[in-house]
Amino acid sequence: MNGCGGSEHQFSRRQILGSMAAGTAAGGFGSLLQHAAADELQQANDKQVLLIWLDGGMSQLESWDPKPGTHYGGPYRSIPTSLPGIHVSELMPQLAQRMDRLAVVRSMKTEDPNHSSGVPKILRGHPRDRGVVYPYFGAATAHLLGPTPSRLPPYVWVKPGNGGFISSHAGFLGPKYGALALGGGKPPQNLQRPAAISDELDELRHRLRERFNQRYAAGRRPQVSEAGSHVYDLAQTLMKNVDLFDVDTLPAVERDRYGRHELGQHTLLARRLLEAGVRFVQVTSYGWDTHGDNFNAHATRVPRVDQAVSALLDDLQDRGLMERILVVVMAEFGRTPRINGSVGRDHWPNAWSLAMAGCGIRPGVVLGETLADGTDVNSEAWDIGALFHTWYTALGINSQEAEFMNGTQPLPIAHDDMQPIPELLA
Amino acid sequence: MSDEAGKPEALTQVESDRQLCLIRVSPSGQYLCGGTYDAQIRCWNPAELVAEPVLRISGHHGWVQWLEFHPQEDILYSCDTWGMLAAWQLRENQAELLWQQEQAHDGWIRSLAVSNDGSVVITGGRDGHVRLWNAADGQLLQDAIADGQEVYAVAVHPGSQEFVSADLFGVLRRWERGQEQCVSEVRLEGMHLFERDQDLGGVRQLIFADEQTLVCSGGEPKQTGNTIAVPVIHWLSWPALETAESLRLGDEQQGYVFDLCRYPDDQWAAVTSGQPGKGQVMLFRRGDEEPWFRHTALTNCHSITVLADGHFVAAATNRNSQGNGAVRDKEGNYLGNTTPLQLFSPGSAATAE
Amino acid sequence: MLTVVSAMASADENPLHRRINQLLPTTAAPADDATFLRRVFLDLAGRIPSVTEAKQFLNDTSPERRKQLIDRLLDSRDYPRRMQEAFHIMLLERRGDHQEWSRFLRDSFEQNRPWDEMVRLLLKPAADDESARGAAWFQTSRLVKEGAMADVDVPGLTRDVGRLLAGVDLGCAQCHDDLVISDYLQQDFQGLQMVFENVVVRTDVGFPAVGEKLLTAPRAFSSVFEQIPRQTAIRVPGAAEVALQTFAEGEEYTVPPDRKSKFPGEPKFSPLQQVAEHLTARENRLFAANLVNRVWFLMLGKGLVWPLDMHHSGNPSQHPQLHDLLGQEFTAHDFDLKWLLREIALTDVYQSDSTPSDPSVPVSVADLSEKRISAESLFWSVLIALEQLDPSDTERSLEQQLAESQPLQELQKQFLKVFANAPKEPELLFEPTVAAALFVMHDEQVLGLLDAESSPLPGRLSQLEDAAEVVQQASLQIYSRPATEVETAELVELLQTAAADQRSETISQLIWAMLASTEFCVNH
Repeated sequence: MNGCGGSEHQFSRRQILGSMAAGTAAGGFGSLLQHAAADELQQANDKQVLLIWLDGGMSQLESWDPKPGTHYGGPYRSIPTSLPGIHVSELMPQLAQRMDRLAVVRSMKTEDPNHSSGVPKILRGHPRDRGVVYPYFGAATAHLLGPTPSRLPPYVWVKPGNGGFISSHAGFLGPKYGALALGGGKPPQNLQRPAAISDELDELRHRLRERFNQRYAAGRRPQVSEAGSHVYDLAQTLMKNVDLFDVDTLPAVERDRYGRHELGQHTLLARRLLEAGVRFVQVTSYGWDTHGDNFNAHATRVPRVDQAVSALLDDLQDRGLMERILVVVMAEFGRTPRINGSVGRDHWPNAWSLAMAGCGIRPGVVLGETLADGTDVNSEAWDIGALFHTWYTALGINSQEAEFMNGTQPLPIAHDDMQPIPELLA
Repeated sequence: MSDEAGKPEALTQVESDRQLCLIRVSPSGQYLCGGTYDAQIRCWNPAELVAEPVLRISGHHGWVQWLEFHPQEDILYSCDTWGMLAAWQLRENQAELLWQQEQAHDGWIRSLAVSNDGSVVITGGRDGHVRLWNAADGQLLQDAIADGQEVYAVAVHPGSQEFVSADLFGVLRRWERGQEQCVSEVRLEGMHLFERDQDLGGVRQLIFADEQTLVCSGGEPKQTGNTIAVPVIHWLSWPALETAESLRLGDEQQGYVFDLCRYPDDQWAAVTSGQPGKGQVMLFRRGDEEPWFRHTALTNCHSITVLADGHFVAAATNRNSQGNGAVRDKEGNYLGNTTPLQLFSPGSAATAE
Repeated sequence: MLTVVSAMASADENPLHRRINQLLPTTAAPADDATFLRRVFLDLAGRIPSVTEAKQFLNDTSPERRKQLIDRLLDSRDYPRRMQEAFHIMLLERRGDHQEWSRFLRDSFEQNRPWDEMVRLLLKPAADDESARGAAWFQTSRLVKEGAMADVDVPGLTRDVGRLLAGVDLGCAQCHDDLVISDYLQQDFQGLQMVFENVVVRTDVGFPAVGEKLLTAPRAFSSVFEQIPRQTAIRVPGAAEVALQTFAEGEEYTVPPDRKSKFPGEPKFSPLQQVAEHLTARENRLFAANLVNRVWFLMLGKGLVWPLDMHHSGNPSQHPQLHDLLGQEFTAHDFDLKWLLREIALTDVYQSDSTPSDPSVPVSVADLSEKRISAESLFWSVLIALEQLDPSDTERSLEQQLAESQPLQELQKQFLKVFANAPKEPELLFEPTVAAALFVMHDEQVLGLLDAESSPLPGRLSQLEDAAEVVQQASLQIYSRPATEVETAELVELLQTAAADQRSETISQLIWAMLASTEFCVNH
């Protein structure tokens, strides 16, 4: 099924808007219509987002929702946290001490048990299927809130492996809202100017290019010319911030605090990018698809999340940034209670957990619960769509009113049958 | 043992409805004991193997990860993933707790062994400690700290005051009673992999074949996520810890050697578990290029134990144990996995002409 | 046959482009010769003109010169290459190429194969026709597993057949009637999908090929909303329902399947054949309406129906009369693509200036929009501007020249990587990226092409003593137009004030700035 279900359809207003727009608009770069309200929102909004994505699916039982001493509970103990009565896995001792700053949902219930379709569904907030390709969370936020005054690219993705400019994350918003991916935490390709081009020559060639563009733009509609110049401006902004991308220059003690591993160093890089004014940073950690050897894997992996996220929370708090930076830690699903013959756990969208903190989020909340043996949700179940509503609301966006424009088609920014979760909002 | 060469045959199979970490047979041959994923020890009578255990021992927590018997008596030493170590006297289908250490380690005790003379129990844990215990009363004899790294396997040398441990990083450490620092260490290349922010350790078990030979089994991990590793056994010289010989038991789908034990006539029995549906029961001698017996009908095998007459039992996992989403029965109950216990008749290798 | 001949005769007296001019009076001024020259080269030859070609045209005083240039380009060896590139991007949406597919496209445009015949080959590939069998790649490239978990994307292929060949995106009607578009019904999607669910990728041959299983039962489906069981036979966008034909057991095949060779058999009743025939039928208005809309977009920069795959009554054509005329005439001319391109190129609107009379007024149907240049066309154009390739070489085509240079082939790969969209993303509008900007700014190989010591154009220009001549030659070489007086004055001053040892570097940067400018990077 494609998830195009539900019975209530609130499309009539959109239909009217759509046909009105169709009467006046034609293609061109200007078809990325933005509401006047969106512009105002962007001016005033200083909110930012860090999404820590544990690709493949972290086990809820070895992290946020331990079931020690039960049939499927696994080998680990649970430990008390800074929230009375709340326990988490012994694999996250530092986060346990910081639970009063977090909000955890233990009753996530989503649809898709496959990575190839599940990852995009979760990262798009699983909106109603209208046959259009929705943007990922990062691209959507970049579009809704725009770049900050830093003029840095609004959506940066720190990930192991290759980097580049990942336009596919933008869906119908168009490549402009794609991710600037820093592969291996390294700066974008071609960011370094070859030595053969001196400062003077570089200045000269850009001055000439701008002069030519100015002349070309005279008398024309602005969209194409602006787009042509914008990417060069952005490229030059990135170059000016080249030191941002290099965590090697930071004090060793700071690097140690986040952990000398990919996730640690990439989270540290993310903090720097946010401080410099990137609107949305996603940090991806790969390798969580522990169909085999799940428990040994989590023994070495979860403590790295524990270390990196704890260091980040401390830094954001020390710098007074918690009020305006939303931190989300999640994956495309959790892992099965039953333990397979490879001593692994498989894909489990039926009852899993995620965590968040910061901007607009009520701290110290643990929402929902699972059955004693963890095999299903035992309270109101939440789909990712409700979480997207919650996060947009936390960021100061009216998630039930704001719309994307896909050409001439207005589209809701989150699933139209769902709403923000009040218990999670400050 | 029969003098004639013959392959073992699969005899009775029963199913434990709770999955087992490890199985061992008592010296008397009366008890086949297994530690479960839910804090129990279950005991069966191998002579009359039926699904219903003759004894269930509770008191542990988490997984009962490892158990071993005293070399001569039906005394069972067991440890769990929450740090508890215990000794039980088994008699007339009853278990009497002889002693227990509730926090023998901080958390997961990965491995346990008993010295040949039955006087010392050794344990190694996630907390990075190797500890020696008086087998008679459970008193701590020595606490050795293995660099704070996760200890995966331990063994006591049969003829001296020495003992050995191996960790997540494939490092073997030789220890001497009474000394705080390890005497020597050596790293087994290939038995550790760091990939995508994950350390995978391949050392799973250490056994002294004799005073000059340490056998180390496990796998050479190739990839995170799935169980992709080449099952391997190394014979190392003692005390030099030099690899004298290695036997790789299959391709990288076959995973790790999960359990290894002696088999009559200087032979060895091992089981492997890898990708779903992979893993076998094997019998071989040191020097073989290929096990002379491979049983492939059982898959994802986690333990093996041998009776005095050469019969042996392997513990595996049910087929189709893997799958995404909820697997439920007709009544809607969530279904877990099980452990088939397979009894085999004795076998022996054909002798070379 | 007779009616077609008479239609042709009347068209000759009042050719289509004149009738378009009557329907669509332009408000913009006519484009000057240089603007027209660059535009028509990019559109019909997929590259900018060389200086020789530019001079030849700009010095031509014949009143027929534009028409002659159009005809010259349509007959050139560049035309099939350009169309192969354009239709590859349109039909495959960067899913990857295959040499058999390239050959099908190239041959089709070399022999000006009618569009209906091309589409019939896409839908019912002819495995025994060596030059055309690669058309199967349209289907086989979509019938692949994506990732370990996803099934073969049959709904995606169904949707693309509707989108690309009939201009209707039925994707939203897969599980229920489209909620917004009253014309898009679930039965249409289901009746088309049943055909492609029946398709198998052949493994008995070494080239892209499809076979069909027997299709004997109607398609049962129900809406996810109503759950009322319904059924349909084959449905083709724009055509009536096609009944299934069944045969007695043992009589179903013209050529039976062969298990040994894995040949899937040739059923007597071929659903693919039915789709091919009914979609391309002359009565099927959608078929012609879609293609003329796509060609109009290719030439004018926007579709009469927009988005291109949203033909339905709630989203009418911007100019229904014009759209109908184009469709009817294209049909009457036996779906002749070259003829259609020629007629559009001859219209006033195509030959108008892309600078609007009033920039604050949104683009209308009577305007020519600034267009995206494909990664392929941009690559050829940069190398022609820099004199790395010579399109006037009568012996060797551009592709043959490229085949002789390993470094340039490497550069081509990089160009496609940074300037093309990701797979499955239609390439429609000008959407520049930072990746491409950084590539142009800093890539060592790109910058190497500007080195006066090793590269022809900067080398040649730096030898010229007259600064005005440098500016004029650079402008003609890169922008395919003479420099204006203001430009010349500014740049001459720049060159004259540059230190002697900086002069050739300054010229290199001047060339770079022209290539990186919006004027070069869009087709206007």
